[in-house]
Amino acid sequence: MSSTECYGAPPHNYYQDWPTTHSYYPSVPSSYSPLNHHPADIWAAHPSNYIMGNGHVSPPATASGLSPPASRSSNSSAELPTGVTASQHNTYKWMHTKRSQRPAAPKKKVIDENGTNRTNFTTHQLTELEKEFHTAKYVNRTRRTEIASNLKLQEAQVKIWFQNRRMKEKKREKEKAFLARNTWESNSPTSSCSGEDVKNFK
Amino acid sequence: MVGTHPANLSELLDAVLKINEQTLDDNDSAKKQELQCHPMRQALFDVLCETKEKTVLTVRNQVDETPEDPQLMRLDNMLVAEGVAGPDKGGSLGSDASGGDQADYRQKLHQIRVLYNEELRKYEEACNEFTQHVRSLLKDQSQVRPIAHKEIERMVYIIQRKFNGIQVQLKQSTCEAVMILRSRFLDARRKRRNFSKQATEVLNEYFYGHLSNPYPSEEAKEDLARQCNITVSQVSNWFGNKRIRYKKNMAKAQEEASMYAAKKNAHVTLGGMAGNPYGMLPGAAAAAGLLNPYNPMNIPGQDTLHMGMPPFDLSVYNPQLMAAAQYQQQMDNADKNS
Repeated sequence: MSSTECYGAPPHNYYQDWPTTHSYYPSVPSSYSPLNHHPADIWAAHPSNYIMGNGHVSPPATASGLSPPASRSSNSSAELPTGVTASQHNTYKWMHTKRSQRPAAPKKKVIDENGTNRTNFTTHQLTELEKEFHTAKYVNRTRRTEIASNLKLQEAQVKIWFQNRRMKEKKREKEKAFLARNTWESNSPTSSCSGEDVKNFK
Repeated sequence: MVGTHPANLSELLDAVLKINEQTLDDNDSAKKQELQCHPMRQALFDVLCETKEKTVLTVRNQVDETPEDPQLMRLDNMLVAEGVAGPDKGGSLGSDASGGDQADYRQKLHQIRVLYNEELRKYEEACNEFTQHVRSLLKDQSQVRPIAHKEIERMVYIIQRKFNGIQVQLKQSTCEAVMILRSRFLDARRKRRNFSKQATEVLNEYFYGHLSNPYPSEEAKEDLARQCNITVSQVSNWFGNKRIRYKKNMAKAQEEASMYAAKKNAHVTLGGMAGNPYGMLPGAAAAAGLLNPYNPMNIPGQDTLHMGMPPFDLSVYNPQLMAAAQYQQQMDNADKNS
């Protein structure tokens, strides 16, 4: 009777959470076995039928379901967590998310319109663009037209170059901050004052 | 009265003609001194200057006073930003590269910097020397010719503007050299190299230890980058590739996951066997992907026991719960199919 009462109290609490945490379902046998010490025949038959009846429908699943009882009878504790881990991998949401498939048409359009899918700027063009970037990170329409005509480029090319260059600058600054913080922490590992971490901006 | 005036004018013209015919030789130094001390020299100089200005007035108007050259300003901005000009900040470029590429880049940039400074110094010396020479030459000529002070300054200005063209060419060449260097060392796609085994081990341990949500935060990425001695962007790329490959080859990836779980179980079993009465629970905790698998505690074990035991018991004694379980399973299957 005392064991029955122990079973009675937790079920009510667990019943409310159980529908949303079905991922813990495979872990039942491994947790149940060492504590209850039920006879092997009765325990093996009933839970196995329950698991196979609900967890697997296709024949291959049934085949894989047969192996756990054998491992349990041999009492190999090392493999139980492995089996649990393997079965748990299929239940995570991020594994099922997929990216939307993009059609190949835009690439063809780009090739047809421009004749080449990637612009290879000359050293002179890159130098001029870099000078403009150091003068001002953003260019207005008028200046963009001037730059494009001077360097014999399209306005779209100049616009995209500036977009990419700003992103590259942001990336460099991020890496620089990381290295600066790393250097600071290595110089004084005991000090946790991050406010003194001076960042050099160009 | 009338007779005296024409006589004086004729005498003056004769004197001017004689001066024009004279030649400036060493023997005539006495005459030059006499000319400089002549009381009428300043008046004659002023008259000749006024006449000259009237005849060449259009030339003066053509001289345009332009403000600072914007092209030169842009060049200077780039040189300072790239570390060629201005104060030497050796560490500021450390974030652009890591490993041997960084050292090579810095060395060559230093060479460009030294060469640029040397050429700039030569340019300034040549410009000053030439300007001084022209200034002294014009000053000497002003002794016997109508050359005013402002005309000398104007000529110096014109010369400096010509020299500016040389300066622009020098700086333009330096900027292009820096761009070539940067594209060759820093921005070029480097040859592919695998991470070290230790780095791969650290990254895989984190990935399989957080399999429920393998999206590390920025702090975690920085910590991993520091441990593996690679950049944060490399860590981000590695995790993105790992997630994609895991999804594409689930079966093989699960074997690898099992291997890493077994490694963790070995650590947990050795560490937790002595003081933990529930010998199997630490393994279950590690398999569940807890954040701290190497230090199992009683509370997680109890939670696992609590969460793991009741469903079976309830399903045996409560038909409604069994029906709910079947319904949940059908929902799960439907979710997997879609």
